[in-house]
Amino acid sequence: MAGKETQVPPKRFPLVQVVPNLEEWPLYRLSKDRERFLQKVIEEAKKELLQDHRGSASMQVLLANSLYHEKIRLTRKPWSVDPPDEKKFWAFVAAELTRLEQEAAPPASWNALLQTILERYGKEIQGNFHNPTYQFARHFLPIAFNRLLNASGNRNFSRVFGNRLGIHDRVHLDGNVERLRQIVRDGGTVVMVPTHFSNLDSILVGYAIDAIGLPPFLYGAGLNLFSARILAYFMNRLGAYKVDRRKKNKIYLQALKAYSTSALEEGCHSLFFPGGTRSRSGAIEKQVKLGLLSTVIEAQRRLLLENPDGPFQKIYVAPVVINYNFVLEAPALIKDHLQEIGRERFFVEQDRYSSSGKIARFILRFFTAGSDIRIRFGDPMDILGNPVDASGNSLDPNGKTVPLAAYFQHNGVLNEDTQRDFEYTKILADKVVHAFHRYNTVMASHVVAFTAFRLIQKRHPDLDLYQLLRLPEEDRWWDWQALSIAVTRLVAEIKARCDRGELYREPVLDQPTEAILQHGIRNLGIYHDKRALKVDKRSGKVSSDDLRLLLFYHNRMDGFGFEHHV
Amino acid sequence: MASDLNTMSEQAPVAVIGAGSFGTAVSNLLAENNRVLLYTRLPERAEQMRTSRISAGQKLNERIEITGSLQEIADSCYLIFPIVPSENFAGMIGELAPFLRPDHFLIHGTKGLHIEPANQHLGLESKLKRQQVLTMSELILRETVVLRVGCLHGPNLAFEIAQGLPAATVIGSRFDEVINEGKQALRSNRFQVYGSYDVLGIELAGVLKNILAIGSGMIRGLALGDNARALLMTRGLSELIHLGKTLDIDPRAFLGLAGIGDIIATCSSPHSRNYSVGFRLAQGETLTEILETVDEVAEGIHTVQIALALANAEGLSMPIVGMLHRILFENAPVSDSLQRLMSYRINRDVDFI
Repeated sequence: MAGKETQVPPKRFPLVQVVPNLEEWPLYRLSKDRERFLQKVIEEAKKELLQDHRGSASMQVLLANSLYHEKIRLTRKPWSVDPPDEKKFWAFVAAELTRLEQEAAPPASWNALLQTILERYGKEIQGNFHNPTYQFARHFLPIAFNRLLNASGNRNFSRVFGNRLGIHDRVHLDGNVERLRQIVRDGGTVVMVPTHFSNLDSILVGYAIDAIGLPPFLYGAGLNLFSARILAYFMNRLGAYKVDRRKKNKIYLQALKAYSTSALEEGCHSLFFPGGTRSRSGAIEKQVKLGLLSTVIEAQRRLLLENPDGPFQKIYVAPVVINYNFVLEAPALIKDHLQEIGRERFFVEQDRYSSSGKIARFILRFFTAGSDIRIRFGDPMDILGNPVDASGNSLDPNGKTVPLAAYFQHNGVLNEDTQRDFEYTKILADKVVHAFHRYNTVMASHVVAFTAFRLIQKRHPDLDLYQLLRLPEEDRWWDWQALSIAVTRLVAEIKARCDRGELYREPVLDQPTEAILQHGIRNLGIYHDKRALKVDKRSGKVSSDDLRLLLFYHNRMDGFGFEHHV
Repeated sequence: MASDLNTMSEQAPVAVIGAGSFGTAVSNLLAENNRVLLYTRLPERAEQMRTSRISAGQKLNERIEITGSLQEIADSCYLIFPIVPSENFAGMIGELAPFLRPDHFLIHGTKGLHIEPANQHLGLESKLKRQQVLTMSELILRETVVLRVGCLHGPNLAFEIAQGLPAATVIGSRFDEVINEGKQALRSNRFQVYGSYDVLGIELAGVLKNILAIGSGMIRGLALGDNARALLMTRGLSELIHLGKTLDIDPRAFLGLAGIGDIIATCSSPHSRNYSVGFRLAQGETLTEILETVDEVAEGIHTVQIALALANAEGLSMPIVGMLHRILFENAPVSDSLQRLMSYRINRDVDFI
């Protein structure tokens, strides 16, 4: 059972590197062999596309369609990072398409054009791992983080150089870290799949991976991150490959998938956010995207087919749940969310959050935001979501070892079946979503937000969500006593679930309700300009500056069936 | 073990678990294309079948071998058809699970549901949440390591199949390879096999339609005529589809072989067990009397309780199913109850699509 994890005793992070020799790091090996790898990616993508588009007519449709999408992108969404010769390249493709059609060219000529496009995409996607940069980053970043964390806003600058709390005291790493280390030590390939709430998730997970002593992971970063030159410098050298979300054409998507599949096939530990984008509502992902997850299934199937009788490289999926008291983007995210679900009904007020996108301020605020960021590593599972034992063997519901290869056998023979792969991807997606909820750590601030929002909802049963969010200031208050009673009940339910191994809670939830309330309200969305909840010192009443923010943090506990307990 | 499996891969037999009338009929269909292992739980019954070569009143094809070992089935077959009554299904799966591997394909033919906790009393006001009700494929997925699961539903009255009459069925599975393997194993010039990805839809359509078979038998038993029977079938189907929709089931599943197809067959045929339960109730027998004389389970009886409890939990009104519940379990007089069908205020004819 994934249910009971071994309790890891408090550790001094960072842990010692599992693979001390960097020449054995998969990402390093890949960077030493870039040219060959790129060719492999292109070949794989081409193979897949040719399977779906046999013959000139079908290939022409594929190429023309991609050209069409690219032309639209070039005119409607140009970015500064786009290479200067983009227009020229696609004009060339257009001319080629016309020429090939007029000459009634043989399939080989059409395929050559596909090859040209794939080569361009491949080069664009490919990242590079540059070890000195990596070493610099891993030493520099924790120091920078520590300074920021200890600066604690502007209140106590002296602490920057005084008694410092390390990043390890502020960012709590929990979960069965030893199992994960063991798997990497034994040569397994790990795919890390975190929840996604904030732009800084990737940096945090990158830090966490290093802190638990794992070698760096391959990561597909949005191309927009590369537009900041300093970030691009690091990203390029830390093994990130580039993902351009504007490009939705089939050739590009196939190239991306081939990149991820091939890297996994070569044993490269990878990180991706299966939710795709940050959670707009603030809730844990209830659905995840299948595109990148499908590369996990495909890579494992290929590894099995390559060596049907012998030992095979095994891929493990490690869910990661990140919990914040404060998500800096919350105001903008929840606004997006409300617009998405309600569109015309939501009256959009002008607010200042969306316009203030200064990255320095962003990072500073993010890391000065209270002490508690919790990252929990879920138990690693196999690619179909089966739990694994200490040796990495997959286990069935009865605890018996499962031969992974048998999932890809038909009448006793390993075979390729893309429809099966697709269904397996959906199964994996469900298991990941389940794990996100299972390994969630409930924080006091979320409990308070959830309770407060539910109470105000119950107080106004006749109002719909949008009317509720526009309640005037004089109606946005809570009686301390009522809040306290409701929180006590909810916490009892949370504890019961934790005892059943369905959930985790942060230690403060074991304190008396009074302390939970104090701690929760103080930390909830702590550095927002408007407070989701605050206590009026004179009256002792709790009130809210912004119910949308309260909704955002309330949503964090959505999807667990807690609404019946408030 | 891997090499053993490879050598037998060419001609691995197909297994059927459960030698009731439908299990036996399916075994005979399979035996036209395959060697078949037919499992029965009771040793004395197995012995009797071996000597007489008869099961559930049907002559067994010579390519059918009787076994009492679930392990033998798991070890020698890739394709397994569990066809046991729903009340025994969980127990059977529990015994089979330790022998199963991920390369097994399971296609079940059981038209019932599993509830949790299993032996609870379900009255007129009882409520069951969706999570408390498992279809057989959900039960297999939860209890075993097998992912490639399917179901076999459709107008397949065992009596007619045993006579060699033509019929068709539908295999519901998320996996093409399961549908294709099932087709290959079952298809013959008298048996047509369709496929669908909507496993849950096919299962629920196949299960819920038994409710209507009971009602239809009652109307026949009271000789209320075919117009009344058609009324019950269509309005009843409408109730079932609404229930399905609250459970996120695509209504189309109810319009295929497992839904309408099976409704037409079982609501008209005295060979349907559920239909005869209704028929005999209308003739004045009590449920207890009827149950004492049938040797195989009429799944519809329990399904009436489960469907109503599901609807109660969703706040959905199901007048026809509720009426059947009163007749079956509260001794409401059949004729009065059916007359009440005429007094419902039904606003719209088709409102579920």
